Amino acid sequence: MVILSMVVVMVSWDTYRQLAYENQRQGLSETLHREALNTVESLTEVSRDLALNAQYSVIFREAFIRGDSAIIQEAIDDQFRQYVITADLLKLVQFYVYDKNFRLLSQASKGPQIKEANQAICVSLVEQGHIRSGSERLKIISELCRSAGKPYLAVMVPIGGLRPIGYLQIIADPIHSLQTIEDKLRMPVQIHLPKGELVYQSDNWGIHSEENILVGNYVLITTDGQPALEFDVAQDVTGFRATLNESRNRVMVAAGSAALVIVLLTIFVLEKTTLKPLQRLTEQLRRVGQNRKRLSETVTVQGNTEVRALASMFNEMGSELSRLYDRYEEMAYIDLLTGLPNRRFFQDCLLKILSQSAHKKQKFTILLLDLDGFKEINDTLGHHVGDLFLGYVGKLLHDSLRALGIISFEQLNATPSVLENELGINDAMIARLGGDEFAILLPLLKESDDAVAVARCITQMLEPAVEIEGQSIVVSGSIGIATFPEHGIDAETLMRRADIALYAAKKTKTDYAIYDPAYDQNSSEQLTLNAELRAAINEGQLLLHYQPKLDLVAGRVNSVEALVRWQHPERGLILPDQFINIAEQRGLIGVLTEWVLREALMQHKLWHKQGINLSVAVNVSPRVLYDLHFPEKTQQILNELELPSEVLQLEITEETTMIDPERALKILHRLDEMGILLSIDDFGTGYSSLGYLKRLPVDEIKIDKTFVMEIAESEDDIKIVHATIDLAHNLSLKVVAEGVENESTLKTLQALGCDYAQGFFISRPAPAPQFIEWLMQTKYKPKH
Amino acid sequence: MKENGKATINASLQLRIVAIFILSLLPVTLPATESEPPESIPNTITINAEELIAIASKTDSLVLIDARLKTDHRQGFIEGSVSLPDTMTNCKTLNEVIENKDQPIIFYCNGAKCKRSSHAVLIAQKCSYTNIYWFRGGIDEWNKKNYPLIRQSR
Repeated sequence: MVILSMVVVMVSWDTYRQLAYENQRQGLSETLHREALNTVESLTEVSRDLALNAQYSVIFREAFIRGDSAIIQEAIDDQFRQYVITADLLKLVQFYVYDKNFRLLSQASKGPQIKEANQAICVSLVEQGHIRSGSERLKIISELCRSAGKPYLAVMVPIGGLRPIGYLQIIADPIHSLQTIEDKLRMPVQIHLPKGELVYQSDNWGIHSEENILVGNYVLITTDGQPALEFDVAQDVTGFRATLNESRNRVMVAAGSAALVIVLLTIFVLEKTTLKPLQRLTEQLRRVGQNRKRLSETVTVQGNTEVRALASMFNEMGSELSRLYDRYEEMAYIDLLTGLPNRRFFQDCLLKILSQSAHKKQKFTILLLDLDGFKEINDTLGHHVGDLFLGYVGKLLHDSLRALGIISFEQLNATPSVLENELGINDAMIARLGGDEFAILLPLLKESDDAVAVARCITQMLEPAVEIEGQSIVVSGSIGIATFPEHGIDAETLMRRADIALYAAKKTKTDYAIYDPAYDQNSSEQLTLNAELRAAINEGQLLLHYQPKLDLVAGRVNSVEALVRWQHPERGLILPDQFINIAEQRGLIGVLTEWVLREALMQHKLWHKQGINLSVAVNVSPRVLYDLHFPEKTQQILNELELPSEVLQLEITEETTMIDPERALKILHRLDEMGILLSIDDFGTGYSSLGYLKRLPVDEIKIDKTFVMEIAESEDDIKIVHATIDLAHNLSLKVVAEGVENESTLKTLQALGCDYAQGFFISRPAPAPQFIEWLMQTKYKPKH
Repeated sequence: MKENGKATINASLQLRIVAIFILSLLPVTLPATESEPPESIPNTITINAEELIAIASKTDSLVLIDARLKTDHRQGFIEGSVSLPDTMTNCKTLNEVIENKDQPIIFYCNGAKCKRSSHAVLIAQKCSYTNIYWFRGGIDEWNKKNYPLIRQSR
């Protein structure tokens, strides 16, 4: 090792020496550069002071005010004699005196003579001075210039204080001042003009042999960027060389001894102090590897400074990692929007409780909650409001379950480790799974139907409208319930079945549903349809069937109801009750409705061209009437097809006005203003009274077929229908009877004064060609 | 070079001693002791060098007051200014250099770190001078902008 370092030192010595010389030379040039600029700066200052002071002799001032050039010249000649060489710093060349318009008034008689200002040395200063205005004219300006190949320094100051009445320009010779560099650096100096003419050389230049000197150089630049002077400075490096050699020997000795000492020390230190502490650190690493909770533990070791520093860094890193891990865990297990545990935590918890419940035979229940109508909130009020609303729901759920004593400790914004430590087998927990889906894990302590009570309580709690950012929001919740071990003994089955129950609850529009094996088949079919519906809309698998509406007074068909069908490639024709609710949940109902509107209106147009006039009625889901843009979109379709709004009729259900009455009314009034006919479908099945209908801008009601079908046999139904027709007429509403399946029903309705009839007896819904075929051969043909 | 370095060290040392001395006097001369002069003074217009020149070139009756100590004044001052150190400023001394209470007056001192001019302005206000300007940037700003200073009095 020692020998090796010696060789390295020897081999690289030459390179080091070259580098040392180059560094020295660069340093020398930099010093020269600095010194030259300092000298020019001092020269500028001295010239400025001289120019300022020169004008304060009384003779000068008085002569200047009189404009007496001869006396001015006398005054400045005085100055000139006095200052021609001032303290080695300033060698004057010329003194120009101008009036305030830069006309030459006078100049020193000793210097080179000019006739006009534009012949002045460093004339650009005059030009610069001339174009100034305002307070700028007061400023002292200076420059280094070249005239006839030689450099000059010029400084111009105003005469007359704050109100300049003239200017004084001093021209000095910088070469003289720059010679002083030899004294300042104590080195011989050579100064050249840019073309090469030597203008100054120190007496002692060249007394040393060439190998013993280093030469630094610098080029002084004029204000406008041309080379003004070139400087060389010679440094005697005899001493430097000796120092270099000496330091070489010292370095070699030092390197050798240091290497030897290091070898010995390393062996000693490694043996005594490092190996053992390192072993302890390794052990701790192993322990942390086994259990990351030990990350924050600190290790104390004996040993030298480095090892102790390593140990302290190890400890710091450990606690930092532990903090990061906590943060990471929080991000991984907590839902940031609500502060509740997330799906992953819920899953972990479920697995844990499953493993414990299995041998304790403890029952528990999973409740899955999904908000109906949340998507509309997001779509119409924006994600910001949607997010705030989810936060609100999360807190509401947590706080209410806490108040009921179902959740025993604060789970909102708790860290994962707190949750993990506090959650016992008998504790309920609540999580947000994502989207608008929440889950509750509920241990069943009693045999009674706890879960149902909780589900009811939750759905009731969600009912009242809540105000978020000035928006009144109403949603309802559906809950699916699955119980361990009754409905499944593993996490996946339990979750899936809770999901199926949830789906059933949504479909039946009940608040909650407990899993039932009968749901299973249905649901798997639904789930597939779910995925296929969007493709169906895009790929033209949807079609419309038309069912006529018979005008009972005129005895003609003037309008048809368009009914959507799904021609599924494998399952055949699917009716809307199988897929409309999927479309509603999937947010596809808007697209679907638009498709139906466009298709129905296009059909209307086609018939119109064929001479058949039939207005078309389209069913509109309550979800669509939540969209404030719906009237606009409808108008757009009418415009595209160049159709008047009277040809379109929209059939809405009583439910429409139940989600958000104010909003729905706004949309309905807009549609009414547009001139679109509105009718209430399935009338009689909801809760609305005819009185309530008065508030809606509807033109027509359609009595549900359950009242109509047995009208010929049931006295009660006749009474209901009769009363409904009378009341509707009193409110100026037209009445349509649905479900007319035989002639006697039709006759009865006619007798009761019903306006329109619809049903199988007249015609089943049929594709356009079949419908037209039927129409052409009936007595109900529309008027041309 | 070395000598130069020594000189600057000496100069800065001296400056520091002077500064410490002045600082120790500050609580006596200025009741409200802050590290820097205010950004502005109520009822007084703060001006910069160009505004000073503009006022001087338009207003004959202008009185330009150098509020620094005489030693500083001798080192260089703005042409046309009267030396009246703030330590000597009072209604009587002001009356000696200013004829009318509504005559325009500009106060200045060394600049951003100097509080003599703001002090003098406050005294002048108390002596009910109404047309006071304050050149806050003072000699520092004047020099930085290359405006001429005078070193000897005429």
